[in-house]
Amino acid sequence: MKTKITLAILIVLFVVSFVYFIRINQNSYTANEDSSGNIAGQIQESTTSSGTNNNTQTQNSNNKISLSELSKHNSREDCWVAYDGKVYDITSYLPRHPSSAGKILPYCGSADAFAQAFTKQHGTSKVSMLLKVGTFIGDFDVIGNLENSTANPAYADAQDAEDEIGEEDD
Amino acid sequence: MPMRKTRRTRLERKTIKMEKYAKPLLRIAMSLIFLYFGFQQVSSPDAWAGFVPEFLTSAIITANNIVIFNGILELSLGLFMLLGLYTRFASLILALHLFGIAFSIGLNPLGVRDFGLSFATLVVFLNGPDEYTLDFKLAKKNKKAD
Repeated sequence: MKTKITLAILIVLFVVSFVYFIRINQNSYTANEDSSGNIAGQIQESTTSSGTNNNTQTQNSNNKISLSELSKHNSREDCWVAYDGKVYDITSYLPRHPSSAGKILPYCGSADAFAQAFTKQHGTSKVSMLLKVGTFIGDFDVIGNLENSTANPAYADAQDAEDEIGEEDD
Repeated sequence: MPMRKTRRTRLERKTIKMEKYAKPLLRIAMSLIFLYFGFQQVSSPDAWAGFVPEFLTSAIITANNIVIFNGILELSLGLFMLLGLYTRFASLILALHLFGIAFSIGLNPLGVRDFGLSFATLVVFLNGPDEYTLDFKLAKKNKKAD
């Protein structure tokens, strides 16, 4: 009986120290990345002033993501989506999506299409989950996208259509 | 009426010989599943934080902390089950834990999978310690000592 209890305590101690080691290692790795500035888009780790936000979302308030930049991240290995004017990296969540990654994959690198599909499927019930599982990358540059819409055929068509509707109304 | 002797095929005979591996195989396979998911949770808790129900979180206990604690629990009990230490206790806790997760996920492919896995863990609990577990070896050693 004593042997079993000793073994059990040893196992628990081993697991706790193992987890502690992993967490410490990951934190120092993140800190090294930040100091060397190797993260794409100079993403900075942020926490709330109270320090209670352990959801290690990364953000840069000055980081504006254009549609062309967003649309580059459209694969299973690199999936960004825009929702409510913010861009999130949901790559790590893809394999964990309850009804397979394939449901989200077509919307990787998209803004409106993702938001529409997300709202249609979940309404607003899973918005908090999206904020938790997605890594915040930056603000979606809606104005910049409209100004540079000629560079993007999809947006150019949409704007033309809007203009035509506007003219008909006049 | 005399009993008719059934003739077993070669495959059946071989399978019967391997029956003794059924219990340890199930135990080890299930424990590896828990170890894998436990490791995933402690190594990248952010990815799992979304699954934590909101009523469990507060200002002090964040979703990430719950995920890490859950990971430690799964790693510890997974190791217990792998080594066969307190096999019944570990498998029962893990089975109930997985039942809870399956019910909270609901009726979708992920929930059904977890439901099946929780039943498999329950089978480990019902089987108890097999001959390749520490429970069995230690009990044998104690008997010899007596």
